[in-house]
Amino acid sequence: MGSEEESTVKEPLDLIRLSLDERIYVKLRSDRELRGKLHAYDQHLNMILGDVEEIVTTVEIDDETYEEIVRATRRTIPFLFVRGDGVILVSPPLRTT
Amino acid sequence: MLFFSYFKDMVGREVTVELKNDLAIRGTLHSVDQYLNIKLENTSVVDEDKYPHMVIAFPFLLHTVFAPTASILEVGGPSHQGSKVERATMTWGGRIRWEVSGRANSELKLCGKVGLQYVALSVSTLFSRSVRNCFIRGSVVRYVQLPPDGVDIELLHDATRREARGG
Repeated sequence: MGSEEESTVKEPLDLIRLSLDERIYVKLRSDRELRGKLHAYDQHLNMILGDVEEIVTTVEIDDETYEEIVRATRRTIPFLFVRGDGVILVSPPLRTT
Repeated sequence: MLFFSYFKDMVGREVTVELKNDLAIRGTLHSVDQYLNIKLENTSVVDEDKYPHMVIAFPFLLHTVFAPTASILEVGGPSHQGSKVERATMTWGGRIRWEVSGRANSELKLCGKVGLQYVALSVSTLFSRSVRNCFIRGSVVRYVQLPPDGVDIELLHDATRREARGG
C-alpha cells in the first residue's frame, strides 16, 4: 500500500476517494444540486457532506403567458447525510494541475 | 456498514429526516438497521402547515368564549388569553376551523350574539399530539440532517478510507 496506490484512479469510486475532505458538486434526482465538503461515502454513494448548499430548481408555467418561470431555492445545512439512490453524478473539485 | 455503524453511534440524538416526498420529520433517533431503516421517537413534522394531515389530533370541548366580530378575533378564554385568530369567518350555528398562535387547532361554533362587538363561541380544541414514534423505511429517505457536533470528521475519513479499501 504505497502512496502510488493511494493516488491512482483505477475505478470510478477512486475519483471520489480523492475528493475526501474537498468540496464537491452532487447532482440529485428531482432537480436538486448540492455543494459541500465530502466527509464520508460508501459504495452506494451514500454520503455525509458538511457546509452544504442545496439548490432546488422548480419550473412554474405562467397561467396567462405560458412562460416558464425557473426558480432556484437555496438553503444551507451544516451536516447532511445523503442517501445514495438519489445521486445522479458527483463531480470532484476543479483541479488546476 | 460505514453508515450503519455511524447511525448506531447517533442513537439518542436529535435528527431531521427528509423523505423523498418532501416531508421532513424531526425526532430522536431510536434505532437503525442494516438497510438504514430508521425509528424515530418524539417526532414532529417540520412544516406542519404544508402537511396538516400528518398532525394527529383529538377533539375535546374546552369552553365558551366571547370574541369580537372583526375578522381577526382576540379570544379571551382561560387557555387562550390573547391568542390571535386568523381568517375567521362564520355563519350562525356554523362550524369554522381556526388556529391560535400556539400549536392547537380549534373548531368554533357560533352559539350566540352579545351586543354588536362580541359573539359567543363554543370552542372545542383539537390538541396536536406531540409525542409520537415512527418507523421510516430506509429507501424513502432523501436526507438526514445531522447535529453539527455529532460528526467526528477525522473518524469519518478513516472509516471511509477503510471501507474504500474493501474492509
